[in-house]
Amino acid sequence: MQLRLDELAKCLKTPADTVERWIRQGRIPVRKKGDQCIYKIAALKKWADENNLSYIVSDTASKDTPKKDDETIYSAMKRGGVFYGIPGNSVEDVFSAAVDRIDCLRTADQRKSLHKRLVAREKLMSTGIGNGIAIPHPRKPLPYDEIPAFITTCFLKNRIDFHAMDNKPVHAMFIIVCPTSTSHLYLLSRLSFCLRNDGFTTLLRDTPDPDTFFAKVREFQKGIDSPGQ
Amino acid sequence: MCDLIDKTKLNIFRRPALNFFFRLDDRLLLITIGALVGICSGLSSVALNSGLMLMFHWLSKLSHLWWFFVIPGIGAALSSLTLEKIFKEGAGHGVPEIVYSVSRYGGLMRLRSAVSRLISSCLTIGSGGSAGPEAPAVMSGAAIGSNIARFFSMNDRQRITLVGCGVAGGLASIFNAPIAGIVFTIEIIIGEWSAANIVPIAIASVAGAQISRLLRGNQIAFTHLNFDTDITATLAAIGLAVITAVVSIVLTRTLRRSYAISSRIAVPVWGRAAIGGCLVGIIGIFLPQVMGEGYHAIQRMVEGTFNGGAAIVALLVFAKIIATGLTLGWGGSGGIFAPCLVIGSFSGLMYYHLISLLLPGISLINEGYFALLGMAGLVSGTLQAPLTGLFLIVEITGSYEVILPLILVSTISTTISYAFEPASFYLKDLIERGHFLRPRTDAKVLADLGIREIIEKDCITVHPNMLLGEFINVIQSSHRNYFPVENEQTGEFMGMIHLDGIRSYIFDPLLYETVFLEQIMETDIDTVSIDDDLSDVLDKMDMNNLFSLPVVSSNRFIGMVSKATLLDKYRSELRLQAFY
Repeated sequence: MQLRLDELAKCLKTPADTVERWIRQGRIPVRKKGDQCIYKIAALKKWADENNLSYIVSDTASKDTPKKDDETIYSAMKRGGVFYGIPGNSVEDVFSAAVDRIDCLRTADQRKSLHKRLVAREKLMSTGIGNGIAIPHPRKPLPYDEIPAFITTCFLKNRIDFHAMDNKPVHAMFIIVCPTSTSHLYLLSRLSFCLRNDGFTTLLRDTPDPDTFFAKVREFQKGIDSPGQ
Repeated sequence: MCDLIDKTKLNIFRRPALNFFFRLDDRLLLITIGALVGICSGLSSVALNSGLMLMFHWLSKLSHLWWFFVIPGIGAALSSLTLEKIFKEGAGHGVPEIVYSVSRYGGLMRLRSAVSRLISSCLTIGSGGSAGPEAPAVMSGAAIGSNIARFFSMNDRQRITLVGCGVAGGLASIFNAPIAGIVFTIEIIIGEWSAANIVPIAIASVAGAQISRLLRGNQIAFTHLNFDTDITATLAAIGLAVITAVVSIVLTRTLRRSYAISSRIAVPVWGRAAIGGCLVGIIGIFLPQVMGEGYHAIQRMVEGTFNGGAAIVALLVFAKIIATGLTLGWGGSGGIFAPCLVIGSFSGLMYYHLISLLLPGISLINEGYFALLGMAGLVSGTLQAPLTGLFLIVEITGSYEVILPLILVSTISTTISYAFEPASFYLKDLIERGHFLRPRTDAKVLADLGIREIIEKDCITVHPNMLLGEFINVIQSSHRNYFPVENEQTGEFMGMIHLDGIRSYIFDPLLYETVFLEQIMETDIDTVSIDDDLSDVLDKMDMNNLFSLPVVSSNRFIGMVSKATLLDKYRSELRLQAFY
């Protein structure tokens, strides 16, 4: 097997200077010819095991695992969908109605599970954040691996009292469901960034159509992810 | 790059590691080349010996002249000049240089060292200077081994083994003592017993000794009478061990003092050598046994035919010590082995006379016995190498029957000297300079790892004109707690911001638009440079209780070094140090 020094260093997850020194000192079973490192894969793997190092040929690894960090608020909201005129006169009713409409949930079990958790979380502490908006979510991720992250936007038919901080009744809900706590925190922070914007909350008050809504979200998306420095 | 047929052939020759047989196991390679190194270093020792004998022969014709005492001075001056001007090397006796090169540079040595010491020590010792030919022979052998290793494009580990082979071959050849060659190499040069290098070194030692026997005949250096030892003799040896320890300490300190005195005199190096040599010559007028190697005197002492009462012998002990100090401490070139042997036998004799005087009734064994033990005591005490002393004496005198008292004397002498002079004569310079690196020690690991290998470069830099509000966004996307501040136009490093220091401010939105980073950055911080030694970096961290330091070179920020990453790399490095 023949690799350049920097490629071999990447496979061993060691700085190139260190690998070069090891070759010069004769501590690693690799021979150097110009800037090429020549070695037998089996011998090097054995040496790596003995010395508690890992030897992974990196280029295959990076192609296989797709980047999971590409989840954005826009894609999550698109996946969750927007629903209008959710009926119900109480918190539990609107939760039921909303959960029934969500496409990402396939089985009745999943819907029941989500509903139960949303109600439990709501009982703990109100998710009404003021200005007529609520962000209900399960406290811990759902025990179903196949459900992807999504945010379902629901515009309620009747204004419901969520015992929000400003005591205003809620007319728009964002149900956030994520497979891991990390992605939950991520989406929640992104969502809160959007909701701090007065323009956005005013827009929501007027129950916008899907195209306007998603266009606005897309705009925010660009603003959030421009590098901070 | 097109390889012509000739080049390929040359490559296979020059890179034997590519050869099929040797690729199976590089131990075979080392044994073969080790034997070659042993032969070459053996030859160079024989050359040195012949050179010395030639010089003795020539100069003894002049011994009747009144100005004969100047000869050692001329010899020493010439030797110093040759080393400095022609070979451009320092005058040290060489063994510390070998040890340092082995531990730090994988045994890299210059080719000219193979010849330089041979010539210069020939001049010093041949003209009567009180020094030994062993250290030069060893240095020459080491340089030969190192350059043969380079010729065959070997890596550091293999080169170190071959340097060891050169040392063993050289020593084995000059003393006709193969075991002493092996033991000396392992005890002093390499510093650890390892299966991988014992075999090539042993083979080289045999090769060197064999060459010597072929060309000089198989004689042991000092024949002796057979000693019938009994318990009294063995007990007497303990007393001798104490005496030899004391004498070793005196010798070591005299040499050090002598070196200190000579370096304060404002004459060029060769001038000092000349003065030292003349003084030796003057001593030699009255006590000729102190000049040169002194092997003739040893022979007579071991045989028990040395003419001299207690007083003379005691005087000789100190005269020889001073003469050695004047030779080696004042710029002459040579080793300390032979003087140790001479002083040792004088000490042994002195002890014998002492005992005879104090306890006149006791029927003591022949004085040669004490001369023998004295030699072992001195070598062990000065070099702090008991095994080398022990095996050397056994081999050069063939006196296995005195092995019990020999062991006693060697070990006790070493132990007592160690209490007063805790470093071998060869190694104390290195230890003082912090250059003594044995495998798997903290010093060695830190010397191997460079800052470049542990530096982390994933810090986001900021500018002094940035507002705190902008900085908050930077913090969001960073992975670290440290932020270096650089001048926007010049990129110069100006200071650091540590999150710990500003925690109380970053949650106060009022400050976001009113505070610039240059108001909160720290400018008075410790930094290290990319060329610094890791041991110095760690000292700095320990002194100031820091766990991270910025690396700044030519006023630019390069990265951070942290104790945590250092521990990680340190540990992997330690596990890898199976053998250098």
